[in-house]
Amino acid sequence: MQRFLVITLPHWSVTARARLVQAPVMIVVRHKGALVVHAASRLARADGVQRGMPLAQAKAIVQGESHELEHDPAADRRALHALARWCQRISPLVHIVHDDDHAALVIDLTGLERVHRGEDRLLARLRAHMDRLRVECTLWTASTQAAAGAAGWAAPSGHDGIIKHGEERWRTRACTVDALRIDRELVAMLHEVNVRTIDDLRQVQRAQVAARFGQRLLDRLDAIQGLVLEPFRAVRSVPDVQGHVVFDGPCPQVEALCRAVQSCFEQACMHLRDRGRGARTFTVRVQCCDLPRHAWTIRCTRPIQSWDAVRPLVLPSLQDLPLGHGVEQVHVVARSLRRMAPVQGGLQGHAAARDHGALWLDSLRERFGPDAVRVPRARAVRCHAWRHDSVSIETCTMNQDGMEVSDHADGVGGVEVVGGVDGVDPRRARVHPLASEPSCLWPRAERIVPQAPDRLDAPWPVPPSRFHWRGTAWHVMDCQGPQRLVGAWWQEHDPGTCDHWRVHARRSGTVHHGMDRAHPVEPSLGHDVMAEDEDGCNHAWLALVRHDDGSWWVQGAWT
Amino acid sequence: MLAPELLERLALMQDPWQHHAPTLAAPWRIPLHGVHEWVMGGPIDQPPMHAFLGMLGMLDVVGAISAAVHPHASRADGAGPCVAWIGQSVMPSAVVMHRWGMDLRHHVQIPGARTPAERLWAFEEAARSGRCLAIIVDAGGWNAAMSRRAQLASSWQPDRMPVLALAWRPQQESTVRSACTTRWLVQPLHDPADGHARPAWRISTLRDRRGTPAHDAARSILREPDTGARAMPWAIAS
Repeated sequence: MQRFLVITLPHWSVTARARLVQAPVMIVVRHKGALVVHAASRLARADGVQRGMPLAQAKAIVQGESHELEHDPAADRRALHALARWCQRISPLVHIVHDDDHAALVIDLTGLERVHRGEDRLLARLRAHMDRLRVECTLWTASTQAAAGAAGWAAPSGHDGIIKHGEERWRTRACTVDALRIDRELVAMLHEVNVRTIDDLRQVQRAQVAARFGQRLLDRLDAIQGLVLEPFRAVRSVPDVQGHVVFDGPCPQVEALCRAVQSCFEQACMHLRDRGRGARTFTVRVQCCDLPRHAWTIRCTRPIQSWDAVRPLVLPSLQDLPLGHGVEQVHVVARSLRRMAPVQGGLQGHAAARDHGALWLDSLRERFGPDAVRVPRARAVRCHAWRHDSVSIETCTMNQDGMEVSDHADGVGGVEVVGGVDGVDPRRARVHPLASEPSCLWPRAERIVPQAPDRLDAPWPVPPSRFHWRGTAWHVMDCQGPQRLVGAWWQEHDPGTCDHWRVHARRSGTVHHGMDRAHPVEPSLGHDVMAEDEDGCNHAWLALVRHDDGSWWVQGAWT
Repeated sequence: MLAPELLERLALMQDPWQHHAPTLAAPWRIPLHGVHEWVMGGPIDQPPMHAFLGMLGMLDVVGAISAAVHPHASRADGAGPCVAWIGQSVMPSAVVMHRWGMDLRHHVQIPGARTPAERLWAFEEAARSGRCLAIIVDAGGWNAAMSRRAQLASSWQPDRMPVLALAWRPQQESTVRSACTTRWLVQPLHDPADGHARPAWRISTLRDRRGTPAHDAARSILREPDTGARAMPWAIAS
């Protein structure tokens, strides 16, 4: 059973920046040209200041001298991150919830009850700390994040509580709907239909709620009882590995910039070596006095902890950097840290050769882009034409993170990978001929009508994501290719050379405006290539070819 | 017209290590370094993928030896020796490479190099990385100076791994001046006796800077292996 402690911070904007000020403080934000109150301190709220009130009206009703601060979400975020780091003394897993209206910290207390001698003692001790820090908050524990959060938002500041396991639905029934952390517009819509509490919302039929207010509202409602999982991303406690150089004044020389970048990398690499880690991603930030900050990321195939290994990737980028009137500071942050075992240098220099090989791939990716270098892989996939003693293989690519991605996916979804296909080794199994050859070749190719523009950023042509064929609109879910087909010139009927894609398409509708009159519909051929999936939708695996004039044709299908 | 002995001596001066470099096994017997150009003849103008794959099938033997010598050569992160394919037009699909029995972990494809200058830059980077056993590159658009740079980058040196470079040129560039070591002509061969069942190619040597074009592959016929699926048009996709 999981237990969560949610520290709800209802007025975090003013708490983060003026919690020690003994005077009315208002955080203002510009809305439609006018300054309005975004958050107000306890003293200001006691005088009647509310969120959304014009600043002039708020200053008129505040007794005494008031202070106004401009809203700074970045500063609020930094302060919340600092408080999260402080809360790591309670549990190492602390999650930050921060948006425009809400700020909260979610602490995972699972298994820590005996450490803190009970949740009631923990809440009492934490309440004392928060009062000493003058942080307005509510402290609630529950088995789900949403239940603790909803109870915390509904309760006034300083009112804490514990929700036992199984009481989430009952304890949150009286909470208002805005405690679900939903949009204000949605709250207003719910109020219009006289739904003000969570219990009122539960009385409405779920189908009507999803249809009128969206699925997110139902998800938030189900999350209270743990029926929907909520994300939990713990704050990292280890500080970033970084290097920093600040010039005395604007420096316009490129050589000095190169030297400063080298110094930053050497600082970062020294920290990396001390930790026994290597970084696969470096972020370089160069701040000029009269230009916006330049920032770029260098990604490496292998973890790096020496300046010599990353130097060829960095220095070419500095040559063309606009410096304006000069550089003021340089900042390098190392990310994606990986553990590196100590390497013993051999007589043959194998380690250096390996590093150089990785550097070669990184250089290619720096110049041509991350998709310009492919490392082909053969992997087993489960296909519709499956046999036990054979295996179908797919073309995939190893990217810089070492993950397998499908070739030319075109943003239409990845390839469905099934690991360990009945224990068949893809490198040794017999390749099924249907893996690359359509089982049903048309006697004459049929032209399709693309409904989406060609992708211009791709280095090679990619099939259209939507097209019309045989009077039906098709939506491409997955495509693999291109695979170049050399014409069978030694045969009498040479089909010629063309590129071929294997496309998994789903039928999305019927075309009624007669765009395919030149290619009449042949129902007998159309149905035998279509299968019906779990959702009841027809889909097919088609072999698309592209001619030199840019037209796309269906050559066959896999049945 | 220069005498053949003088031509051989000039070639030796330009590349003094060529007579000490290892050569590929029969029937090719070409040195495992330098640029070897391939031109298709006849109505077809596609890279001779079968010849490339056949030669690289032998190179996998070399890769296996290297893997035995280098303990980290067969690691999955690609740290071992590899074969680089530069240019989209000379790039076989993984399915075909798998059918030819190649270990895909030792192959790196670079389709992002599109222009001749980019392909030359990628070629030089690959040749000097110390990791590539062979490079197959689309040399379309390379002039004499660019081919000379490629030849220098792939020339054999005693302190580094030899690099075999197979450069494909389109037909219209078959007479372009080049600094390549050898140039091969691949012509499709119609064999009615075979019932048009299998493709075959006639391979001949157009030029050889070593001055010894009399080896076995100087003029031979390469037939497609009769293994059923390989002879099908959809299976020989390249």
